Amino acid sequence: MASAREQIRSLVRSGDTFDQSAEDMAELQLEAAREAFAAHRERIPLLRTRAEETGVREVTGLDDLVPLLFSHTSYKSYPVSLITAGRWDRLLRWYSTVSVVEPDEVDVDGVRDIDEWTERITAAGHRPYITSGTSGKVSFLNCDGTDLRFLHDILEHLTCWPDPLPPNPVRRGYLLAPASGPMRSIDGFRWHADVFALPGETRLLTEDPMRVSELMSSALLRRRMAEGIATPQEISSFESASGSREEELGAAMARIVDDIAAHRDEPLLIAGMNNQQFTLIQGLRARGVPDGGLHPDTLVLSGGGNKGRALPDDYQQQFAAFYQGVRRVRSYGMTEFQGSCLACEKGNYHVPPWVIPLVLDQAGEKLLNPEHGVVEGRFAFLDVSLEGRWGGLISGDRVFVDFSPCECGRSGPAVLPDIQRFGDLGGDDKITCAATLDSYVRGMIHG
Amino acid sequence: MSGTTLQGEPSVETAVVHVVRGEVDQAPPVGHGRGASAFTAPALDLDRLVWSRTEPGPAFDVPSAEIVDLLVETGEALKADREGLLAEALERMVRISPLPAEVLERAYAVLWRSFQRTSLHAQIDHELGGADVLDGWREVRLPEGRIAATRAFPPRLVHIIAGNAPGVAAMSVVRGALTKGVNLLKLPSNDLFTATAILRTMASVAPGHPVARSFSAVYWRGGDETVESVLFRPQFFDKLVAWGGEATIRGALKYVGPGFELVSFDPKTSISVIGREAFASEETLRQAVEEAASDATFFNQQACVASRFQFVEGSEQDADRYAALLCERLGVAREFSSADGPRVAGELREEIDVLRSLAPEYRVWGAYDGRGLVIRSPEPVDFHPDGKIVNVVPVAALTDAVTHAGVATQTVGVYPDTRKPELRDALACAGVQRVVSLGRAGGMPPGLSHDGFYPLQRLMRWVNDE
Repeated sequence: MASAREQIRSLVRSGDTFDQSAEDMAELQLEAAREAFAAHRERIPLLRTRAEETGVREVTGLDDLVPLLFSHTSYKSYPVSLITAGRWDRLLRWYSTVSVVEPDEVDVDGVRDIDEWTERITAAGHRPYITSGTSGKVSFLNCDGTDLRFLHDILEHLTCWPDPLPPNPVRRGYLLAPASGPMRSIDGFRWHADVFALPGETRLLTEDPMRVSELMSSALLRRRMAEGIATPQEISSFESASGSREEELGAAMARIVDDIAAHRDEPLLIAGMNNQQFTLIQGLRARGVPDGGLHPDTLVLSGGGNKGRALPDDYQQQFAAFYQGVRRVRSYGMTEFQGSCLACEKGNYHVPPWVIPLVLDQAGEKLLNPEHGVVEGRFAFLDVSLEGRWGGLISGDRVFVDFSPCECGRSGPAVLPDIQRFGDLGGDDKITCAATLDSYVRGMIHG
Repeated sequence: MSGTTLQGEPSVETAVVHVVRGEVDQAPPVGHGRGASAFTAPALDLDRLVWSRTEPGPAFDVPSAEIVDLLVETGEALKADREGLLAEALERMVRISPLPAEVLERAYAVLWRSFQRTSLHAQIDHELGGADVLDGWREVRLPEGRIAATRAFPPRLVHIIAGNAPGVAAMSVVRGALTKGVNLLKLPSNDLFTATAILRTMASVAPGHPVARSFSAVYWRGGDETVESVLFRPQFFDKLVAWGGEATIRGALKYVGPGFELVSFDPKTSISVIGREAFASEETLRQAVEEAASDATFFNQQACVASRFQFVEGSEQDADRYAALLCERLGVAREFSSADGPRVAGELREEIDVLRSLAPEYRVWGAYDGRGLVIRSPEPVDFHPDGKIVNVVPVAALTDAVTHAGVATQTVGVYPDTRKPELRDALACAGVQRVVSLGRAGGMPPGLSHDGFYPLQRLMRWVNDE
């Protein structure tokens, strides 16, 4: 008999992924959690340490999972100095404590920069997806071959759920993203283009690959400033480099706007993070493309945190208005778990069966999951499908999760649309005189 | 949405008292905050929070000797706490502060120290050069032989105070009183009680005294534009005296302009440097560790003067001996710290767990129970050690440690004292403001500069008669 984790993974191709009975699911999930814990404890030192420290030997219920959840910082807990000093073997050793990668699997001989280091791990059969925050220090979230295949299955079978889109390559594609790079969104956009766009008819924002070192440049500069060795010229170059890059991207965006405006009567695929989508919509509106003015077989993928650049509060409404009548993937997700929570007909985000939602108190310590009803708290989860890393994580999101059956008729749980970052709900208004150099350099780097 | 079980509804709300112009405000309460940290405070009457510029403030012409007397009496009253005002504030404070009750109790027990006559005189004499310039016009002889006069004129101040140590409220009241100016104190959510308890004690000592009438202390949510955009104007106040909090300072900047100045006690961090002399004997090592532990645990490391990074001149083995001993001594109760501190937060815990696995480059002593934890690393860790965590970094020479001091470094504790002269210019050059003997980081002596300037001098409006 297939393991519980395999049974859950196979639901992605079942045609009724989200229509499982809550009771059966709870049992299968718990078994899968046991399997995942047993397997990962053997291979991931950080999980082993955590298990020993908290005394959790086995998973008997969801409460046992809470002390085993990682925070998002675990995946960027490497000392930046390992990168600035080029200690790639050390960085690899760090990576092997938070993932199933073993140091002797990866050849880091002759690695010159963080991008090459990332490529070597990819070459060894793993994919270190990165996510970036405003500090510039990036997280490395490991996926292995099984995880990548599973991601691919999700897009092929669940795109546009609850009304899945047949995998026909009939659209003119626009990816508002770099050509490649170790980001799940970039891979996701490209795979969608492979499945849903006309072969050879996909336009990119830039042909350049996304470089990890470029994403990290603010963290690296920050470190040099903290050490007092960054020069004014260096800071100025950093500022103007981002300026000219923005100009290039602006020009590329303008070309895409023109192209979409010219082909808006054809089925299109438009994929991009929220920031780029917003810029695109403004451009198209300026070119006279009205709301609801695209071909109805158009597929739109968007998402992503609103990092660094503020979008207007009503950007979601603006997206909905402009893209009315086309097929949109509406979901709540994060790179930290596989796939995403997809919106049903009622607009609630259904948690996929391989993700066990664990709603915690704000401190992230107490499990609040009720039997039924809505609970407010911090979104945490265990993704039992993941093979490349431990899938238990605490997010920074404040959510309402409904554990009762949804109005759409399916059993829950579903995340309700009112999702916010705890950080955006306003600080705690506590003032202390203790702080770090960060306060002094942030203004200079991020304006 | 049936059977909704919303979490975090407050069971008992804490009532915050406002003092307006020296008196307890009776306005109806409104709610603030969320969940367990929810509280109520009187609704604000913005008109009563400003003092009209068409007339002098209540205490503008009160002789400084009388103010000093009032402060000393207030100090005595704080010590005795006959009306139980401090006890009441403490009881409420314990519920909201991240500091343990015993640390708050000891901090409250010594609040009166800021009101000692010698320390008040030290501030007037060292920062202003004497009371004459505060009480009247000081004659100044100009280069061409002309005579002019100058006066430290009472200012109009709005203070945004920090809440991580109760002494900040006491220091702000003392400084505000000595200026003779008018003072609006904005209470931080991590200390909603100390400032008002002190002001109420002052009012009980001398009901209706002009100095008491020169103070208001109220809460509004930091950054609330409906309040700040109205109050932070030169028509009402000369200066914004803001403590710490990056968000506070950045938020305040947009109001700064001609006639409305920012006096900022910037957010800071502190370090220690320990010379190889510490390893001369078991006794010197114990002594150095004791002083370093005292500096590191000041207000359970919540304060800006608390040392977080300690640079040890010696080998990795020396640093390890030092670190092991230090870890033991962090878990000891002192005047301003408790044996137990806050448990190490999850995110920090993970970063440290990962460093543990990077041995032997990194080594960790202690657990996450809040009794103290020490990390030895080849260079300073990327994260901010907080809650009785110390990062020990071995250096070949103390001068190497100077490169790790910067504009955000406030206090540097040095062991032994004899090494200070060789380091202090270089540290000052890097941006440091205080070089102290190891163990002396806590409790800044009155009359010296603070964050690189003399506060009393900076708070006054210097006016000339030429």
